[in-house]
Amino acid sequence: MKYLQSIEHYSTTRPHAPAIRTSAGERMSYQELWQASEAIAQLVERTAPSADSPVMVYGNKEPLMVAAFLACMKAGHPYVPVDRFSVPAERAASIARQLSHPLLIAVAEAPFEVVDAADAVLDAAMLRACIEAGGSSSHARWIDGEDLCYILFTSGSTGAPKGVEVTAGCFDGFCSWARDLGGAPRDGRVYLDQAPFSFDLSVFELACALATGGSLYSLTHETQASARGQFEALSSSGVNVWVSTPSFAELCLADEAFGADALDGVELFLFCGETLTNATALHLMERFDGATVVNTYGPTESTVAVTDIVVTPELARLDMPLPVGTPRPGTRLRIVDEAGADVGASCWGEVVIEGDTVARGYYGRADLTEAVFGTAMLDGRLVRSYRTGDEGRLDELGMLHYRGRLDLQVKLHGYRIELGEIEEGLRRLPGVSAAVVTTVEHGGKVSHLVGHVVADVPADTSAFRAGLAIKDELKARLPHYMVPKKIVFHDAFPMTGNGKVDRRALAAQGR
Amino acid sequence: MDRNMLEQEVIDLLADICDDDAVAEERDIDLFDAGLLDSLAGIEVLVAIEERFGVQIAPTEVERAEMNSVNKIIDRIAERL
Repeated sequence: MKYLQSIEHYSTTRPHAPAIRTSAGERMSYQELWQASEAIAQLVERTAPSADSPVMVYGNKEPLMVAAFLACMKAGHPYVPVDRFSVPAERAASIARQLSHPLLIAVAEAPFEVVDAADAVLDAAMLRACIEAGGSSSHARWIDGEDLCYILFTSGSTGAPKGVEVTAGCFDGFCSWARDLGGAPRDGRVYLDQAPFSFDLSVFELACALATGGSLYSLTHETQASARGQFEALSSSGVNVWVSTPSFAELCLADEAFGADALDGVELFLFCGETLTNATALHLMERFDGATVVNTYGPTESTVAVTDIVVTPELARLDMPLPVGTPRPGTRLRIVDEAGADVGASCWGEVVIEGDTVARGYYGRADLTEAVFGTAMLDGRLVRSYRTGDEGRLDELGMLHYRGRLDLQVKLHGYRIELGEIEEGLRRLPGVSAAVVTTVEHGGKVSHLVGHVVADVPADTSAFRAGLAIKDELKARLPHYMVPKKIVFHDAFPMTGNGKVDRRALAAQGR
Repeated sequence: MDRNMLEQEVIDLLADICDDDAVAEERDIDLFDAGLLDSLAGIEVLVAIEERFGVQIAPTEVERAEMNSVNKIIDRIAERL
């Protein structure tokens, strides 16, 4: 795997250069990262229940998380990153159960349910002892080509999260394109690492920073909880490449001091995960004169992102939403109708991605995989294809424009959510007989979710308190961003002419 | 501006942003815990406060714990009026 070779190179040519620094003050140099991952790889080889079985890595932004990811790549096992703050215990346990008794690397202490679903647990103390003792990986086991690199669990419409299988080839293919976005990189740049590792936006900095001799500056959950603490951390971070969702940048822009004076090293903004609005792009270019703003697009199923565009002030000032760009080398886009046939030039349709970074499928779910993954010939090579469910259009310049989803998947602050999964979560609660979740939009973006519930028995408290109780129960099962802001109780749901729940009418009532 | 007017205006503003009129009766509830505010909506609250009352509170100036309920938000504005 090219990625591991690059890191190995920097661990010998610049061993003491920082690879990771966190806002909690932890740091790891290239040499330390390399040696730690060598030792952990040997331990994983010895303790994993079977060859190439998935390994769950649990924690937040500790440098050991990254060492554990690399160790899995070296030991020939896909890693499954689980952030302990954005993934509640019960959901983490459901992921572990889908992996059928995986090895668990608990960089932070894992809850009982998760440990219970694991085969064996390596905790932080064991990792430290193993690093202290030293060890080495066997090169023959390093992942490559079609071997799985990581499995990332995203929201699934039927109630259980589904695991996207990204191969070593996908990872390398993504990395070789992403590292050059915004111009050929110089070595040693500092990349912002803000998104939880269970959100594949974080693969942007993980791949690009370490493949170019740069370093991650990781914002821990505790730091992100305080606007003041976060601002202080960012202004002393020396960040050169900003990687985040547009929402996170908007949050930072609310502070007038957020600009080139406080963060004088920022030269490049990389956005992914949701719509970048013209206003946000312009705002950033005003605050950071001379910095490059790059917008990208892509689903987890095709390894983080596949299109890019450099946003200029001229483009952002046009009275039309920003396009998401042209495909990377190795990716071809098609726009198809419901029957899967190509639509006419410049027409709207479903975006299909074909190329060398399309994932293998959904872990253990051949049925779901078959429904949306396929194959295609691209430049004489057989590659995979993926039907995204996104509505898009290719203009005469080959530029992709994104309009939204064709199904019930939504993006809220960059997080990908299947409304069906929340509805299923609501229906499983005692006292709930029917549930529908709708979205409320502000300024062309989803601002929040509303849960509509038909209850079996009338609540004995106010509707507000009853809604609060439901939200509390959901919070234990779903990530915080999937818990609706408001719960509205109905005696019955409105129906459409053909007897389906009238989602549009409900959405209007939720507003 | 008297206290009653201030309270009513803040409640209107929060009912709007939280998308729930019940905030008028639930003045001590932690709006973040209750899922009625998140970080982005918290910024919206600060912007709305500046527009309605001319009171500027930078996001980095107050910790969340000092401004997480209807009553605390009213107090923080009252201190600055």
